[in-house]
Amino acid sequence: MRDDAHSQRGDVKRTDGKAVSRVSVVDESPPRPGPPEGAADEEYRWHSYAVHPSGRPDAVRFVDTYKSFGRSHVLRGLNMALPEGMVSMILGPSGTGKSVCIKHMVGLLYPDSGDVLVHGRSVPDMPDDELFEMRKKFGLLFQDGALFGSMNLFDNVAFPLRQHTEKGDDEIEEIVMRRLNEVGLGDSRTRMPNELSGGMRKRAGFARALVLEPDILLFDEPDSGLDPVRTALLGELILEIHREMIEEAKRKQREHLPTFCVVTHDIMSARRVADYINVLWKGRIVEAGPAEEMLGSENPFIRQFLSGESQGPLTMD
Amino acid sequence: MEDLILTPRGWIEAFGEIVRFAARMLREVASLRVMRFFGEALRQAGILIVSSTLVIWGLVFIIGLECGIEGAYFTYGEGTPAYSGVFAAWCDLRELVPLVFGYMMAAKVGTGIVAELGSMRISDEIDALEVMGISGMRFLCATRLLAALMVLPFVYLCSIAAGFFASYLAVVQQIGYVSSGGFFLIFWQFQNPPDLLYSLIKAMAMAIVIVIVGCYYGYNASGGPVGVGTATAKSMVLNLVSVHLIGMLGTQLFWGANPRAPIGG
Amino acid sequence: MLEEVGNMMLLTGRTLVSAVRPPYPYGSEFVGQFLFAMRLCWFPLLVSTIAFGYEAPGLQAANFLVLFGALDRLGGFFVLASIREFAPFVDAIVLAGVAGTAITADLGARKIREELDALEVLGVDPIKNLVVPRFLALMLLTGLFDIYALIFGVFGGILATVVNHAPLGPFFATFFNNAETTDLWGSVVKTTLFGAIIAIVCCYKGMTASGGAEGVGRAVNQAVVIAFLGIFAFNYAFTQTLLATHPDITTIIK
Repeated sequence: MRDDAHSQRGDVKRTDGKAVSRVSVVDESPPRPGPPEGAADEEYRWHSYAVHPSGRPDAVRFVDTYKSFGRSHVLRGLNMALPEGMVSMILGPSGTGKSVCIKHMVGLLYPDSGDVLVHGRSVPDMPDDELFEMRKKFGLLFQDGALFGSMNLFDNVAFPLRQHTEKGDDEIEEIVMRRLNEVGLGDSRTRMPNELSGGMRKRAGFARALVLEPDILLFDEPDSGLDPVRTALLGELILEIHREMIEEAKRKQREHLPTFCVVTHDIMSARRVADYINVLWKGRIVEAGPAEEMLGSENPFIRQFLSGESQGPLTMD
Repeated sequence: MEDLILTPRGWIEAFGEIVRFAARMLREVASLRVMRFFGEALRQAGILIVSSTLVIWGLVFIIGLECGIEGAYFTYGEGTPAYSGVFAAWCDLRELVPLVFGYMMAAKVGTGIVAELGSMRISDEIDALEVMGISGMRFLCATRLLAALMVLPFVYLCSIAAGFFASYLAVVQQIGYVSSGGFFLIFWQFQNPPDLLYSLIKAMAMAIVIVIVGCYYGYNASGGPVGVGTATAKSMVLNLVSVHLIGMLGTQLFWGANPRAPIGG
Repeated sequence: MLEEVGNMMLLTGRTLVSAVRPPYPYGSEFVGQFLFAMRLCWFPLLVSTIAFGYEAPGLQAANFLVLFGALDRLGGFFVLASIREFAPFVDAIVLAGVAGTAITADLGARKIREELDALEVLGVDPIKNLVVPRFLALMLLTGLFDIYALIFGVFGGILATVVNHAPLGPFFATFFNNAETTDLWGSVVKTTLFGAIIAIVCCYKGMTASGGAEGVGRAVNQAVVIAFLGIFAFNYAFTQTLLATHPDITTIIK
């Protein structure tokens, strides 16, 4: 599914050519950006900022985004892209602002400076009404599902349909049950969220994120609190549903192909699920590119992180 | 523990933020944008009736009894036992019923809203709403305010009835210095419809402030379940102070210059 | 509901026993809690008592007394109303709403962080080390704050007298004519018991807070409702008994 798109890379993507591998076709390499204010050059010595092109237009793009909370600077000049129609992954050590990225994409947080573009439209500049309209393009799976505690499973999944569409009860029931069956929760429709296990809550949140047929689906640490087997199963489910949605989008000739983005620090799921990997550290992208190129990267930080070793540039502090 | 203490500076900062928050909430209700979620508002109204009215009436009933016995013994001691109805008419209607209504609103409804919205905030439910393109402010806060505006006037009128009934029980049935007819003669002489309206205004002002403060602390909760607990406790401080201040301002405004009594010098 | 009341009674009993039986390791925690609650409450209580004193027994009672041309008895009325009823009442409501909720939030936080379990594992009795100092601190503080509330409540009454353009002399004359130390003692004892009710309810609710996102918030919510109901019910029983047995104490001496 990667070969049918034309190369439409944006001009923001940077590479310094150092770690460029075989398929990279980069016309010019902009100068390597300096470290953000107050940070030593040393801190960013592993950041090659190399971006191996995916050959796809960007569904979401961060442009020089800065964000701090009080004295903690979370995003420090982030340039990152999620290519359309792929399962992208934002990988990084704990506490590097991965979830903050997600909240920027859907306009729950605004950058201190810089821009966030969704299908070419700037999110921070949108007026409220347009923002709410734009958010309907998104599905977001929260860490613990974020199901509404006052509703049962069926009502939770039906909620976006009831609020945003004029569909009748029968049609809603059909859509909801199809989604619930897809995630394997068809039998639990009347159960309340607090009666479900963590994995079931996640899958229910997945179903809820799917019912409006979003263009962009975001997963905030889908593997947190799950055992390895369940994580693997969830990863498979994500891939399967992505395949179905791509086919459907092509059949219906929709304007944008469905884009998935998974935020995690779990390397195993990255290896299994990802088409495209962004590695985030200290508020910037270390390196980004299609999965197989990243897994073969020469950058010591990437190598250490993707193989999960204790020896390397990444330490306890 | 230390973050439970509001410093004077914290008071002022919180006050400014709450005023801004209140303006947003009131705008959602006044512009009728909240009507899109009228069903949710009705549901909230139902919850309010089912879960909170009985306990509010219960507390008002106790204070009515108390007012009654104090009033009966006091007027007896003054040598004017026939006037014990004044206590029911004034003490209940003008002062204690609004205050006690405010206390119980703050305790039951105000902290309840903080706990509920706070838990929704920390389990990402509010973010989930927003991502679905639904304004949390409108769906959660404005609907609660609308529900309060729809239901509470009736709840309050019933509270007054409960207070009066309790005073009657205490004065006439229990202590019995005055007959039922004598009680009601004074009781009705010493109040008129504007008094009832003023009392209602006072109580509704308290209720609106309590709902807004509750929504503010719940909607902006952070720091996990512990943070929700802290926010709940903090909302209670602000609500108690507001209830007392609104009570005082109301009395000064409505009865300060004019006792509205049927006799006078 | 009944089971909860039973459990609170049980907690009261265990707290009392634990308080008197040696050893007494809770001294510093007692001082800490006392100061903590005092810092929390002094300002809300100040505003509340002045507002309440000016409003209910001040303006309205003055309105009533002006009718009979007896505004000079407002001072006497304040003894009746403020010492016996309003000061203890406002004192208890503010302490429950401010210090009580803080105690529940604090203990609830410790409960869900499993600190209470950790204490038990370390062989430390949470009742002796956490509940007893809070219980004693809140009793003492509510009793002391009664006098504080009284002073500022009377200040509200003075304001009301001034607003009615009446001289303050008769206010104080009838106030001190009617004030008896028994009244004061009764009031302080009553509020001390209010403090005990608040402490037990709030400690119980905090220590039994359930996990989950809503746990601690819900515990605070329930604690303050139960504490209010308890205060009102106890106050009613107390007033009822007092007035039925001594109806003459309601007479205001000129």
